[in-house]
Amino acid sequence: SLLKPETAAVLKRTVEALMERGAVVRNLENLGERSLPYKISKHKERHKRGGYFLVDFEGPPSIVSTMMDHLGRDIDVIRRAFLKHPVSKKEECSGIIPVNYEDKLIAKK
Amino acid sequence: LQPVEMENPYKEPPKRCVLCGINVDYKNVQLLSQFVSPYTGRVYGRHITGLCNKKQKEISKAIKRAHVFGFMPVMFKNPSFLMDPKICNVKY
Repeated sequence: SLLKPETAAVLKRTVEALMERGAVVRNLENLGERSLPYKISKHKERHKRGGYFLVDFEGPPSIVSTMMDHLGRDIDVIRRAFLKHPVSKKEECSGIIPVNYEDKLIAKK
Repeated sequence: LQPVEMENPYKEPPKRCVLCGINVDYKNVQLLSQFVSPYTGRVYGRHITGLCNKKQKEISKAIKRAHVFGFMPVMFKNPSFLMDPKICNVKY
């Protein structure tokens, strides 16, 4: 039973909390509302559907613990997580290089 | 005439695994589910998926992340992805 004004309020609260602790919010993505892969019990309720949101922000690493605490207290947040921004590596995938086992063996001796 | 020094002209290009050049993300559950057993939901090993070192590690880390963040089911494979083409050489 996800309602638009409620989700908007939750997002507003989290973004404000982030900015309060000195983070710069870059982007906010909605990954859609879907049925959860497994039933999650949180805040005395068994949830089956949920909305997924991704907040892109820059901030000091000391934010993480305080924000996890803050989001844990929010009834509307089912699961929270923080990730490092994925660094897009140089795409130099050179394929599977055949390993020379003979050399490895002789060198170790 | 003397033999000329040159690198092997008959060299084959290095073999590439299925995910060579594809960015692995914890968000695209469909890609991740292709390397997971439909019956138990366990990740297949390197000898079954046929991926190179790097990609196998990336896939397993992404799958574990997807489990924890609530994107992918743990004990089974998402039923909507059961009809996907087979990548791994599994023998049921």
